[in-house]
Amino acid sequence: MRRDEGQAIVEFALVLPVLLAAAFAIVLVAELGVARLALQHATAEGARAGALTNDDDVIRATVAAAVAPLSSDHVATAIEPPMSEAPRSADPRGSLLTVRASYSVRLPLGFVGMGDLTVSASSTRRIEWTP
Amino acid sequence: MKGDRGQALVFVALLLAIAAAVISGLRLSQDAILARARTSRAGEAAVEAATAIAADAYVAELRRAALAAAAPDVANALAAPAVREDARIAASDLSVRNGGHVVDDVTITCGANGVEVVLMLDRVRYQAGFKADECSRR
Repeated sequence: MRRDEGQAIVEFALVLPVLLAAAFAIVLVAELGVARLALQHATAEGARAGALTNDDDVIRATVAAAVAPLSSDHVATAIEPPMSEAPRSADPRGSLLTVRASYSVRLPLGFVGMGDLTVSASSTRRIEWTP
Repeated sequence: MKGDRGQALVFVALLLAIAAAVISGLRLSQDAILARARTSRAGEAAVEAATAIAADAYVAELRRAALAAAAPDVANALAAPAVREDARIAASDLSVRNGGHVVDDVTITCGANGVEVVLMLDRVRYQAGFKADECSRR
């Protein structure tokens, strides 16, 4: 009887890391999917706001608000071209505006030297705003 | 006793198979959801771009009519092949830039509800428009 109990513990110890790794992998894939969808939604909303206002602050605020459930503090936003450059600095109606956003998903095994995974998305809209 | 020893190995193999199936299923469904969302956004961007071209043509016609002191013919101005082609090119460009497909045709109509722009992308109808009183005064 004692020998059998010991065997069960050894087997459990062997299975546990595999079980945990599988669980982490499933959670990670789900998290990546949520991040991809949230970023795509946020960039589309940001680009739409930019097309109507031509204002970088409004674009960043829109992306930050639309990126939930991701933390907006960890989302990097880039706007092309910036507000200070032509054609956006003059009469941009009809020109294109692209909003890019990226988010780093921290891997559960980061402590063993695995880096973060970066998810990104972009959206382009035609600017409708007139000065 | 001998039969019991392989249990952990069988359990691990089964677990890995289930995990692999769950992960591939998750990835496939995520890709499908993302592709649908991307196409939908591409369609929205495309119809917005086409409507902006129609709006520019509408304003140009109002200006032309004001300068000529004549009544604007918005329906005719929007039906011009050049306007339709410009709208289609703008819609296609925005669709492709947002991960969608090329837009084959754009319909611009001037009716009781104003100017209406319609296009089809991946068998989904996208529609946008703006109020134009000149359309109902014909």
